[in-house]
Amino acid sequence: MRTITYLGLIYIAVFSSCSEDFFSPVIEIDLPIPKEKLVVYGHLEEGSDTIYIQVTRTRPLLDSTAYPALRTDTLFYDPRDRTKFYIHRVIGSDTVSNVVIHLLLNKTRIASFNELPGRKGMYYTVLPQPLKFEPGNEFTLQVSAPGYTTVEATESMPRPVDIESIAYRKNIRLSTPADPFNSDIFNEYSFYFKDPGPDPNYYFASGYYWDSIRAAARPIHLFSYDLKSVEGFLADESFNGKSIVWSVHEYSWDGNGNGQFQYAYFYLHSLSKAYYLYQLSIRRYENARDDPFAEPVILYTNVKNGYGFFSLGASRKYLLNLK
Amino acid sequence: MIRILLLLFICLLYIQLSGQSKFTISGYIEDAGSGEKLISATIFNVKNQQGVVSNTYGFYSLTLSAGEIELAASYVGYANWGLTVHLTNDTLINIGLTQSNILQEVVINADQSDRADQKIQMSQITIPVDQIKKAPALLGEVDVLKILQLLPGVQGGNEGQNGLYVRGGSPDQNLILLDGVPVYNASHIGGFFSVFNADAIKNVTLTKGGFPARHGGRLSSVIEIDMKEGNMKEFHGEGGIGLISSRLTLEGPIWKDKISFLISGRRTYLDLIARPFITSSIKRENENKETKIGVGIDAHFYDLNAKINYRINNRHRIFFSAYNGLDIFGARYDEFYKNRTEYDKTKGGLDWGNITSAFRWNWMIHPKLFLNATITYSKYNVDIGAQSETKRIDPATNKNIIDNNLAKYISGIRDWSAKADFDYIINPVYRVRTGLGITWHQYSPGAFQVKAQSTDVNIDTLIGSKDLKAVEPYAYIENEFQSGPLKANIGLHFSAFGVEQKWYSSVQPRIGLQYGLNNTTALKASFVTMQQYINLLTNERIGLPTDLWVPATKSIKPQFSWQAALGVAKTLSNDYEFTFEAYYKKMKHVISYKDGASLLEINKDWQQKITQGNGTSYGTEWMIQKKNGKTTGWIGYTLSWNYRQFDDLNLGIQYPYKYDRRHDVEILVSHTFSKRISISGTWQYGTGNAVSLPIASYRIPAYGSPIDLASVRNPIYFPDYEIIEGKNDYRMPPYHRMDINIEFTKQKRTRSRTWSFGAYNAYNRANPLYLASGSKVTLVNGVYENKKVIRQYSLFPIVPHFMYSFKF
Repeated sequence: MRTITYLGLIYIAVFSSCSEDFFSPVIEIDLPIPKEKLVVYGHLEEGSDTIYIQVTRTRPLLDSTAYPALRTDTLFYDPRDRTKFYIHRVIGSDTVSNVVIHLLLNKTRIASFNELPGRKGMYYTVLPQPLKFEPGNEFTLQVSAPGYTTVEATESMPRPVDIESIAYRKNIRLSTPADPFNSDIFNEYSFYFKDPGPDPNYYFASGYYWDSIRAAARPIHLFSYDLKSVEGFLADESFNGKSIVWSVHEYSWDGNGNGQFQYAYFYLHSLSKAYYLYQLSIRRYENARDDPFAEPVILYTNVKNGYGFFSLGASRKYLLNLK
Repeated sequence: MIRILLLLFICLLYIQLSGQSKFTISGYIEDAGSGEKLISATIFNVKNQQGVVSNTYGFYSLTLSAGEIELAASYVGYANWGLTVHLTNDTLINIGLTQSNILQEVVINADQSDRADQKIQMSQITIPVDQIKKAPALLGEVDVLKILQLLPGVQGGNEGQNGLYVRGGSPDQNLILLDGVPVYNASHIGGFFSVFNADAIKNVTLTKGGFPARHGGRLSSVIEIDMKEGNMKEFHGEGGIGLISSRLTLEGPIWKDKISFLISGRRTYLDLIARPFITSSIKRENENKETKIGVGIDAHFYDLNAKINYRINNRHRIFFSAYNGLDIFGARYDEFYKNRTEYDKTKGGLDWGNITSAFRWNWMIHPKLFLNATITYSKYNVDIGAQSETKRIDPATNKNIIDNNLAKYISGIRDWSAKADFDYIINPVYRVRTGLGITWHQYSPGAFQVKAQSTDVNIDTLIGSKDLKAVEPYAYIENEFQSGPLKANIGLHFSAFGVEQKWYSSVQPRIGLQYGLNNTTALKASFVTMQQYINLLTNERIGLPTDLWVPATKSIKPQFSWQAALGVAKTLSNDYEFTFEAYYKKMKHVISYKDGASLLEINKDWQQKITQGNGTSYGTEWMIQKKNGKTTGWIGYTLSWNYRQFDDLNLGIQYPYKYDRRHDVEILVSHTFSKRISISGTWQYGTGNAVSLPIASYRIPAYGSPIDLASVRNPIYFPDYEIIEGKNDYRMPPYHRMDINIEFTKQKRTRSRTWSFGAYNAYNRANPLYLASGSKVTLVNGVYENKKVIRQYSLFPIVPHFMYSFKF
């Protein structure tokens, strides 16, 4: 019994002498400071003669300094009516000085870039002739800046794919995963097209209502409940070289609910693999933000020695009469 | 390969059967005091040192030439046994060995069969339950699995948890068998305690490689936990009262030397201690005349083990064993109004548990042939849910209006299985084990049940994955033989798996070789292939029992591995034993969640959330062990590399597995000073876990469509993205911890009591559990600045414990 008493006294002595921090389960740790790298963000579309590339840089995670202001941006709050409400805010991002950018076609330089006036970090070039799809052509983007490792990315232009037709179903009722009991009302646009095969193809759909009163296009907020889709994209793994029907959706209240638009036009975007993988990783990243149950996401990059992406795309347009 | 093995088998059979004028001594080896069967006890002929070891059921069979035989039997911790017999026909001898106290002056020889240099089997360790019980433990709760984490080649995962990562494998690649029945979740309270009550356990064996053909279905390890059978001679009991739990085990004969029973229970009572405080504090806050509050919390687990052992005669025995364990965590909050005529009742919680049961029949068909036939059932399920009930009285109609709502997440697995194992001991140098079995699985890989019932709504829906049924037959044959200094165990394991009208099958060769260089040193080698038809989907961020057991399906292929190992085993003087092993393991079709996949994505089937890839692990394991004497224990060291490669993860580049630990050191020492005082301690060190930690970030504009992007129109905003350079490319600080335990025992004539005191994490090391980024506001020159910081979160500081145990 005496031994037990002594042991108890030793315990009390040990613990009473400990400071509060002694039991603290949280401590701050230092991180290695990584070398800053260039971040490239560029997408080239078939038919464009002006090309824009955004260049920024990485910063250490624990760097708490404010981002330098690039410009003031305007966001409209209600997508149904641009006139309703606007948000003005300062957009900031890290910038890099003295950036040199070259575009190469099949390893031959075809263009150099200049900074876009009033858009810090945005670079542009005007090509002598618009970009066009030719099988086997490879485009390489090289970006360098003093103090940074030169980065480059190479990508091929995907083959554009014609939309054969679009079937339009208005105000259909669909049970959605977010609301499995009270099905919502949607407009559905089913794209009919033939995948060219044999190389992998990646698709994305976008659309605009034509507002004849304002003589302006109004974006259609499309997403897809089609089981073939992944995060709104479509990869041709399961239908390579075959005809396919792909449905995309729009909330009915968000779209042409009042029947005020007569026409809409849609794009079927053929995208290079880098665009698909980057945007997929971005969407997964956004979905996983603040979800403690979600796996961490590594953002895709095809930029060697840097981050971001360089991709190419080719789109085909289809005019749909909604009436 | 299969043809060669079959040919070899036939040749050996012919050679071995050509012996003549030999007779067989057979029977069981058991503890003389309790009748418990002794596994792997040695019986041998002293004259020519030819002998065999008893099997898992204590059965032995020794075929010798007729004549005068000087028999000896030994088992670690027991006094040697000897008998001279004149062998003229097949003879049945049941052997009872007597336990020896290590503090007595009797010299106990190390059991030959227990020496690593004498066994063909490599990569296998058996830990005596007494050693497990003496080892320090978190809050004094003796934990079988935590002791296994102290072995080379075995890593423990996160702080305090008892997941086992064996030679680069994941926890689902361990086959944990309780009396031959698979246990799917061997953890309580999110992994801090194992479900195995040490008082009810007889034996624990871990096999990390060189798997004999009788085992299959998992890639990385087999953990065999055998329950005690119940004392056939006398009634006994033991138990303990600790800080958070108490336990009691009773065993004894129902019919002396014929039928015995064992029943063992354990329950935690943290909730019972905390309940009065929580209830009173909430009631105080809400007390008024109109409303009555009812509050309840539940946070406990319990285990129940039971076993009945019926010795029908010398040839037939039957056993029935069962286990039921449940974790319950929940809270209840009720409000009653207007003299309890109206109320709001809400409750929610998380429950998970296992049920296993086994019916076993042992039949000594022939002095050389033994059958073990088993029928088993195993169930594991998880329920997470919240439920509410509201009752109101409609003032207009004066009728009751009752609303019921329920949201529940359900997942689980059920197995029914039947198997027969034959042990044919042809002579001391040749033994054949063969068997077959079949398991029916029913998987419930995660579903949400939603119920809403009121006067105008009636919903009862199940969202998520549907149940899957599968069947898994298998068969095996093992040939264990000795030729001069060479011993071998060569076998084949065949398994198949039928699910969703698809069949997978696999023929798996198993080779184990041992070459005795001298009386104390042996070289060992093994090569095995394994196939696994079940996967555990585990979240890498948090460890909850929400992990899902899912099968191979039409689109998810079974996991496959091959493993080669080379080793040396040497028995040194004074009962020290040294082992060294080097291994290389390749795994195919291992699974992982895709980037960003979340348990909360209820709209996706589990198969859409996962991807399959490859794993590679290799390394060396060193161990020096002292098994006998006043001081026992081991020092282990592992140097290993462990990688994964998935096309869909980390841009397809190979990356370190989360539990890739370059260095792992484990020390366990127990010392008995006297009959009254003993002390034990453990120390472990491991390279920090590999985690995916962002170390940089960037901002980039977001656009709605490719055309907007190409023409830089309408950028939506500039979001921040944190960069993980490579999956698991950041190392957390190393893990190290010391635990200590001291026991004071008072022995009386028919009973004893023990006080145990100790501490987990004795030097209060802040070991990393996880890292997270956050912000910190500091006042600099009168201005508040918001700084980003990375914080390391730890779980357990020093945790003292005591336990009072008794035996009668």
